[in-house]
Amino acid sequence: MPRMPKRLKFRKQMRGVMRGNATRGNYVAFGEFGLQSLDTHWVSARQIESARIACQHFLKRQGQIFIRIFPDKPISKKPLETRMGKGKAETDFWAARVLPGTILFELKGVEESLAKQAMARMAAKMPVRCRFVGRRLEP
Amino acid sequence: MSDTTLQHLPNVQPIDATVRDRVGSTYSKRLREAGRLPAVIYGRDGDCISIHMDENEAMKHLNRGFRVFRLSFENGEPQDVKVQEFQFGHMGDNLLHIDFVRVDLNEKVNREVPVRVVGHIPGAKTVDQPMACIEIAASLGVMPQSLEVRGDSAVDGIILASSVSLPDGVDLVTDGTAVVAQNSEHAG
Repeated sequence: MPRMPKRLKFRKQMRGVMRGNATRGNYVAFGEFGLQSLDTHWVSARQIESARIACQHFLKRQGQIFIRIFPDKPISKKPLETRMGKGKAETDFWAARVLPGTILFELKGVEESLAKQAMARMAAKMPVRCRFVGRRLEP
Repeated sequence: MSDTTLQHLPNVQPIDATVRDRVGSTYSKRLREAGRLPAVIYGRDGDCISIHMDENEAMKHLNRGFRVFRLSFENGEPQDVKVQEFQFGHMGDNLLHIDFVRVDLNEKVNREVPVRVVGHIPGAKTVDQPMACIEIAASLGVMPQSLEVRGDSAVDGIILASSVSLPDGVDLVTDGTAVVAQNSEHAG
């Protein structure tokens, strides 16, 4: 089941502009390895769910997956063959905003070689270029 | 600054540093392009000093797990410091800046370190470890990352905190009669 917010204050949002790099959520915080985005993009709830399923099927219940992004932005789309106007369309899908540096997924409790293979499968489901990262230096 | 020699302080690494005469993002960027790593030293009633050091040398020590350093300057006393904070770029792989805080290597500090039981406790099928960490007091220069206790040091199937062998200069703070590990049949 793709993720979406439980409650909403407003049903529709403006599209917005994504600039710059990730300044939050840009390091591996919960797991041992992470998948980091190198591009700016919306990642839909279906893509996130697809990546999660691909990873879990590959790992066969080993380890733990952390999903670090949440699709909280409603993206509206007019139906096909509809005349322009008549107000803003209904929500088509939910998306997470991803900037360069954002950690998309994390893994814990699996070996590095296995984590790399699992992350490669997750990266294939993402609309952005990704790279495999580990935990960074800690004081 | 402590007068202890580094030979007896396995956790301390020497690094050459230079005082920065100009500070600010522009000059820090120029330093990074020249292979230097900007840093700052503060704490212990001393002045805040902006410094820079060789990036490769610093990264070599940091990647090996060292966090306590003796910074030596061309003209000035060396300073014992430990890493307080790292600052990374947005991709998390490029170290931009280090915060060092001054430490006194003669002063003992309390810290909890993990204890690992090596080998088997005689007569025990399974081992219960109620205490994963014990508190010790030691100088940062000799502070161990972890401690080991031999399973055959158990008396009546029980390993006490006092049985953990500590390196020189390390004192036990946890009660010596506390049970670190025991035969599971004794547990409960």
